[in-house]
Amino acid sequence: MAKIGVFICHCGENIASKVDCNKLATSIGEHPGVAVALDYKYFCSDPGQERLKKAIKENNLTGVVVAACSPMMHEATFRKACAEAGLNPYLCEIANIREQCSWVHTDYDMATQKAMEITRSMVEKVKRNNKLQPIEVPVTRRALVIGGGIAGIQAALDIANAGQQVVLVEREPSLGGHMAQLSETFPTLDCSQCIMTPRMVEASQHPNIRLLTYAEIESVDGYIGNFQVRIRMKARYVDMSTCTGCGDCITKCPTKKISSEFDCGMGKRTAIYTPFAQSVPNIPVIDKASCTYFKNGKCKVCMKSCELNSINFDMQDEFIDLDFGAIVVATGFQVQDNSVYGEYGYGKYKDVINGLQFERLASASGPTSGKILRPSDGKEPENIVFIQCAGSRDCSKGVRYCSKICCMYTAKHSMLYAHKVHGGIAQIFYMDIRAAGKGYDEFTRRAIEEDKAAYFRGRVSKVWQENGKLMVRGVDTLLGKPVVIAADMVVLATAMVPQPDAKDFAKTIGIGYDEYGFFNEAHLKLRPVESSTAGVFLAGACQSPKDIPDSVAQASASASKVLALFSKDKLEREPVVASNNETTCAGCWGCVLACPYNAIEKKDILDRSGKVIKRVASVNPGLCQGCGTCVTFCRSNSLDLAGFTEKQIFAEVMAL
Amino acid sequence: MTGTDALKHQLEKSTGNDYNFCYQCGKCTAGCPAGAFMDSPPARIMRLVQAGFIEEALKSEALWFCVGCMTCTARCPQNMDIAATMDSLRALALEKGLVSESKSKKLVNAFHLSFLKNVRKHGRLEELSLVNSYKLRTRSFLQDASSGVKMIKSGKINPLHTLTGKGGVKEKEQIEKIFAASEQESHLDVPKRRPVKKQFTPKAPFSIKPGMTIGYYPGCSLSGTAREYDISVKKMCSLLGLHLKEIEDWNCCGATSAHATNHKLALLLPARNQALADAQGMEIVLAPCAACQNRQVTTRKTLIESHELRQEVRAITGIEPTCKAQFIGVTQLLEAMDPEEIKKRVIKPLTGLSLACYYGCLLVRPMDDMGFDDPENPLKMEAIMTAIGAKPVDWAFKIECCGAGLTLAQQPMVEELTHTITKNAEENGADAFVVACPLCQANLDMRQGGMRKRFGDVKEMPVYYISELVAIACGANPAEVAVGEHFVPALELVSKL
Ligand SMILES: Cc1cc2nc3c(=O)[nH]c(=O)nc-3n(C[C@H](O)[C@H](O)[C@H](O)COP(=O)(O)OP(=O)(O)OC[C@H]3O[C@@H](n4cnc5c(N)ncnc54)[C@H](O)[C@@H]3O)c2cc1C
Ligand code: SF4
Ligand code: SF4
Ligand code: SF4
Ligand code: SF4
Ligand code: SF4
Repeated sequence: MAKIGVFICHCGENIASKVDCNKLATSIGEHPGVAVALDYKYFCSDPGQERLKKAIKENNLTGVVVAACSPMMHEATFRKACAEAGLNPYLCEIANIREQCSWVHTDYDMATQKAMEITRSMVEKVKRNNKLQPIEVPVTRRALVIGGGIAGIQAALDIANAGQQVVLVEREPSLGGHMAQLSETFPTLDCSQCIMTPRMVEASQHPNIRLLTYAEIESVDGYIGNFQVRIRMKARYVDMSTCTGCGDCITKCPTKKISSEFDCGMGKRTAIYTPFAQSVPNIPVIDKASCTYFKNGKCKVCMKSCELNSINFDMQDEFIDLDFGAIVVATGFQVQDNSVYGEYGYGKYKDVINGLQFERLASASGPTSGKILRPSDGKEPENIVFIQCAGSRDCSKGVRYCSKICCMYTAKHSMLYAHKVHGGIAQIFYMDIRAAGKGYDEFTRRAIEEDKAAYFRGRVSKVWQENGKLMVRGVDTLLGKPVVIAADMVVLATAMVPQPDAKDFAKTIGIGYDEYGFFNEAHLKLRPVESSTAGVFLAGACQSPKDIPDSVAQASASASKVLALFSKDKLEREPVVASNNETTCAGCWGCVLACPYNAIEKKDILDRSGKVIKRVASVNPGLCQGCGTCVTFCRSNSLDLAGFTEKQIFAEVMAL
Repeated sequence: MTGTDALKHQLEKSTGNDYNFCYQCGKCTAGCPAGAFMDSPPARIMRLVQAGFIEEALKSEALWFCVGCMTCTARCPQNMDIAATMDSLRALALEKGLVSESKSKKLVNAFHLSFLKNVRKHGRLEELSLVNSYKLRTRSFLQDASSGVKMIKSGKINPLHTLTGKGGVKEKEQIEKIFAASEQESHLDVPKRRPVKKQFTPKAPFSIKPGMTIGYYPGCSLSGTAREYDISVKKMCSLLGLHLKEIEDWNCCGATSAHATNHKLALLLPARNQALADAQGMEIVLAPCAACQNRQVTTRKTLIESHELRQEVRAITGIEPTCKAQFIGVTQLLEAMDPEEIKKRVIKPLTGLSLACYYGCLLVRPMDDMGFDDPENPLKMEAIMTAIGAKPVDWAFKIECCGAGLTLAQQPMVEELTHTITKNAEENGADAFVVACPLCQANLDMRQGGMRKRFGDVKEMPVYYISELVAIACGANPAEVAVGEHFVPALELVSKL
């Protein structure tokens, strides 16, 4: 005979103001099988939990329903309390009468009525609950960090310094990401390369970090603690074990006119190249698409020039299969393609550039060795117009969101310009100045007050060329007047957007993404560095536009999550998995096709002589995520989901 | 609802805007050709409406400087229709009598009133009677007197028509019904506008082959002041082997004046043409005037969307428009013929002629309706000019507004606008303009003398119609296509090629 205890929480006023908890307790108390029904102000509090435990013991309860907030909030709390009182935790269920009732209704009587229905249906379910045991799985203590920008490097170093193994995968030939391209960084104006390079070197030499550059993730299988990952090592055509990075091949390569990705098209590189001088590792790759040998079968100059015989044109992509316990995704961002702004002439006029290109101009390692010179004729610009929100906050051409960093980097650009070009005038069109952060507002004020940046509040409508000048027609909305400025150069503060392949990548890893392609966190406020897939964490600008301090902070937070995971030998998983009744299974394989996690295999049933008498579906509890899709597909009703059996669900529905 | 709320609501209904969406970025002001002349430039007008100062917006002088170029609307990041706000405010101001007493308003209003009165009477515009009636209202008899005389001499304005009304529409009572209907309160709501991604995806070109007969809608200007456009279009078509069939008993599309002052009128006038073209079995109708084409195209779209409007047109004309007929411009026609087909017919390539292809506003905006060419950097006219051997220059002002319909009312402003346009064309190496719109032609050509005198820093630049140049390249005698009748001498440049 079932003896169910029902515990109705007021949640302060949250529930009690809309639901008559006392009345609910009285009437549910009369429901068949309910041994005790209590209401209380806060069941999640210590005294509340004590009441619950006491009632379990006193009444020898066989099941518990807590009518309270969402199970997302306190299911774990109450199940733990039950366990402490000697009740199998899976005999405790939550009836959500807050989010699904009191918060969304205004009529007191009707809300009370609905709370009654929700609670009753849970009581009917719990009557049919079985005792379950959590599944234990081992943890592979090795972390995979994908993306070698500042976020990925930071996460890898933090995990490695705590003594755990890390594999850091970067798809470009070198570590560094965008930070390696920057000149000086706000809000302190320290040189980006100076603070970045030591980190890159440290990561590459760390005994606990295995660095795989020019590599990509081919596939990910498994689950938290037990991921199986296949990594594609793209053919470099240079033998990493023998190459010393002397650079002879690079100097000799006759194919020299390739637009450099690292210099955002403002510099040139050879076909065999390292992206920049301080590349880590300092080992070149051959860009197959531009190499003369690969195109017409002639050249091999690099091969001849290499004294160590490190060049190998026959190299093929290789695959590495590794197991991991956790994954940190740190794949960063891209800047938006500004050619969508026909009216700004990006792509048409050479001297209209974007913010990242300006970084390369201002960078000591850049194509102009840090001098601010116009791309068109190499002259020093007497004035520069900066256009903020170029692509951000503009859903007609770009993206709706604010890229968060461009107000700051534009202020930085105006300062760098003022420091490098005496008498240079920076004129900035902006919609709002968003400079919230430690030292940030002070920084933008400094640009205005000390470095004399002239700010105009308003957007620009058109940029055109006249008499060798770029004419910028904008507006000063504070004066309510249109403004025309003749400029030597125009810099667009381009939007930060997700990597172009972000959505496909997310599918490979099995994580969610938002409407733009930024990866989704499990909870924006409370679980900002976890993805919705257990064991996969997020760091840096792949989750949302971020500056360096935020990227680094998130990376360290991800690392600490990984380390917490690695602090255990075994993981407990919810026992909510499907199981198959092999005697009734007809072997139609509908479930095999339906399972989104590939958790169902075909299994042979043998007779004593070892002859196959039947093939049936068999669920791998390690892979099953408990989604229940297979159950609905099974024609012979052989599959069922622990904790959510058909019997339980029907009882729940019928009680309504 | 307070009075202010009611007015705002009315504006939201007639424009589709929700004024909360304007985030005051100012891009509309930044791009507005008339922004520098306005007391409250477009962004401020939008703010006045948003904040509920409707009366101040209604009294603003800015309304009477707006040329309806739609640059603001095309570039608004929040997809607000600023141009429609200007139109609606203007109509509302007139309706409520809440207009500024300034000179500019009087001038523009006088122009629109004269224009519409003229159309109401004749069904089409009789241009001299327009000029006269406008001048009577504004007492500016001397302005343009010399151009008027030149026009009468060249037959562009027929003074007899003014007396007899001979060139007008036959079914005059239908026109009267249209005007009467547009004086009633309008129930036509505009679909709601919300921020959206604006992406240019070119429409598939039509296909027109030599030997085909297509509809023809000359509109008022081609039967009047832009006579040489009419002549050259006809010549060009015959050289390309096309036959034109004029829409029988067509009426004026209402042009800027209806559009700027009365939303309903601006739909009903073109809708009658649509109904006639449909009933006369036309599928493609050439409307060489960009303003007419623009009105016809946008009206056709509304007709397709609005059952109510179709019924209204039926009540007036007895025909329910099927909207089978599509109105295209000359550039589109030439594109539809395929530049290769045109190349084959070139007898006298215009080698060495450096041209600034000028599109103005109405050929590219609104993007969704007109959209056969990139709205920020259209290139289709260039393709045709290249096909006939001329050399189009790369320049920056091909889609800037020339002042359009305000040529008479806001002459100083129009001069400033055409000055910047001409200067940029000259600087980029153009010897002449090529246009596909009589309004553009008038502003760049007729106003050029005055403009050059005022600024003194631009050279003389002939302004050709695209049809003139194509016809000449295909063998027409320049004099035959009336190139000699332009204000800026244009005959010599093409004759010496
Ligand atoms: C113009 C400009 C100026 C800036 N100035 C400043 C400044 O002054 N101060 C400041 O704090 N911030 C600044 N920032 C912001 C700063 O660049 C970012 O905060 C930072 O680079 C984010 O680091 P990240 O590691 O998340 O991403 P990224 O730097 O983008 O690194 C991501 C890495 O992942 C790799 N990757 C991507 N996809 C894959 C894949 N599928 N597999 C393997 N590897 C992959 C990429 O190749 C890259 O190396 C600026 C940004 C811009 C655009
Ligand atoms: S020449 Fe040989 S050793 Fe030197 S960088 Fe090139 S591949 Fe490496
Ligand atoms: S084969 Fe020739 S082109 Fe290719 S990387 Fe080597 S030197 Fe350069
Ligand atoms: S950070 Fe500043 S410039 Fe960048 S999108 Fe936001 S408001 Fe615009
Ligand atoms: S461009 Fe649009 S959003 Fe910006 S001020 Fe004008 S109406 Fe408002
Ligand atoms: S339609 Fe043209 S003139 Fe009128 S407000 Fe808009 S941009 Fe200015």
